[in-house]
Amino acid sequence: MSVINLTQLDGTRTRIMPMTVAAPSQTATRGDFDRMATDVNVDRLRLADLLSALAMQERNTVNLYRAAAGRTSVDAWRERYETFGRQSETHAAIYEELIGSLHGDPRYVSPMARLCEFRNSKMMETVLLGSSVEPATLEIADLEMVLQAEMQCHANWELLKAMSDRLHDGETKRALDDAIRRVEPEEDEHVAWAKRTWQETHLILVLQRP
Amino acid sequence: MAVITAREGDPMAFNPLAEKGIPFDKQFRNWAELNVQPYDTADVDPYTRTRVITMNGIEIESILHSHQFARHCDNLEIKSKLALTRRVEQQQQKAVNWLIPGNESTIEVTIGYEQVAIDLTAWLARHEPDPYIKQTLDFGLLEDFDHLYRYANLYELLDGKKAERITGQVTEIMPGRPTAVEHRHPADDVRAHYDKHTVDPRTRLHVMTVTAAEQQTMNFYMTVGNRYMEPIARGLYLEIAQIEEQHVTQYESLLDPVESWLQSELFHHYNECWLYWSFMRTEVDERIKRLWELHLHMEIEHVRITGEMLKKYEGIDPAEILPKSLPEPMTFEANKDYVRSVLAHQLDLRTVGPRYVPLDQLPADARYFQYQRTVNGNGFIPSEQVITDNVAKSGRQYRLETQGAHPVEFLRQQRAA
Repeated sequence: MSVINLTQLDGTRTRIMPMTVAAPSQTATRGDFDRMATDVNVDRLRLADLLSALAMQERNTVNLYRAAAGRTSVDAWRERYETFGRQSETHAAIYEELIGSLHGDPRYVSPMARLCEFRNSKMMETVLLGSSVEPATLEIADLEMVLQAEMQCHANWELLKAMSDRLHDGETKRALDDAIRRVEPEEDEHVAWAKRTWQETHLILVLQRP
Repeated sequence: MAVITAREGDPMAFNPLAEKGIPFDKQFRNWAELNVQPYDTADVDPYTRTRVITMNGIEIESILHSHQFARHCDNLEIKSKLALTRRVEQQQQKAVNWLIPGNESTIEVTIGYEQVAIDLTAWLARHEPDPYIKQTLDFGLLEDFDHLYRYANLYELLDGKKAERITGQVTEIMPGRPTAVEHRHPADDVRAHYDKHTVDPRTRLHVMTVTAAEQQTMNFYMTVGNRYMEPIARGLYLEIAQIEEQHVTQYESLLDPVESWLQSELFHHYNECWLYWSFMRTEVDERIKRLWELHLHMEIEHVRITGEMLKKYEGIDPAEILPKSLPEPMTFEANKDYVRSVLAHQLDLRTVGPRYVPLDQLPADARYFQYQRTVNGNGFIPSEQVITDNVAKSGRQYRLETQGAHPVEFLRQQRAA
């Protein structure tokens, strides 16, 4: 299974930027990705950075589902959060398998992935404002975070699909297609449920007379 | 209170997440319990004093962080739990800081603070796995080392006493990177930072610890520096207080801002566990050792409570982001050889933004030089004047050089004519 909250103890590496540092054993450079997706003509560093960020999005979504499932008072939503959370954990593992099969480093955290995580953590801070809204609004806030997270996850997988469409047949294309095939139905379901439930909840609350 | 003893198999292994702390309803103490008997200055071990000073700084940082977090949050559960742990931290801070007796003067406490800065920073640097973080610690070390020398000369100048009454023989007292040249443009104090995913857990603890220690020193000098009548003392405190601001800027910038408020709060309490556990293991004063153990048991509960909030609000189990056991205990011990080796090789380092650069590689128009001209202008530099004044009074600079001549020739003692 994937590691959701990566730490140094997981053998993680990063690429240092002007404002970040890492020990030499945990520093990745452009050359470390030269063996990645060699059957296609791509910017390998850019590909590694992108896949890292997409995997991070999936990992952060797992954390979001765990938190939302723990807080919601709506049983039906809790079941969905728990199920989708488990599925997202599998999707994160699929990302790691994909990266590995392309001869990349599944434990590489790119600068792009850091930014993705920072953005998601700011979104999660929504709950820090939890006592100046009604409980129903807070429930919807969790649902909206799920919707936004899943829309991003879904867009990420669509991006990989679009990428695959532009590649000739080979190891990389087959790896992408396999990963997409394994997640697509669930990803579709996640975003569809979140959007539908969000709409219906607002409509119910607004259109009913007090 | 059961003493936390070594475990079978690994005498060092201690995981706060696996321990049972004191329930919150049993953590509050009454005034008599908090109004502790201070240590006796005449016979306190210098490193007992440094442990006390360190934990005071740690507690203050924990409190200030909690206050800042509370200002960015209106979640009643989180704010209430922050207030709860913070109230206990405040009691801990009193019990710790009130160990310092009233008959230790401001300058004597100051000398203790600088001894902390030196032997804490040196130990952290010796044990720091990240080369850049280690370099940052080494850089600050030489500056705090010089501060002790300047304050020691002030002590002799004003009170006719020798700083070794406070420091003992365990820390040398001689010039470091001269305070006068430490003044840098603010942009040259901002450092690069670790990445939360690749950082060694020890590095995070080291950075949090040194940030808290320097912040405490900065706050102390900001507050007490005006309590003197003598202009030379007022001047020296204000000058060095400005350097401590530089150090706080430097060390806090090593932290990764990707770490959220709740994660940072968890790491604060975990750091307290590490230090209380470390000091419990190394403390020579039995009474104070029991205090470290008591506070450790409180912090274990703080880690648990904060971990629960982290799970609830961020879906992160603290066991996923904390190591399975605390690292090697932080130990106050002599670092003379280490300090001397850093002195011999790094005295002339400066900074340009986050980079370390030898002085002779700075361009002539570097903002460092402009800032130096501005603050050191008009010829009055308190850190230099205090040495001149003490030489005039005592016939020589005050130093405690137990390991031989200063490793840097031009900093060796010049005899008064």
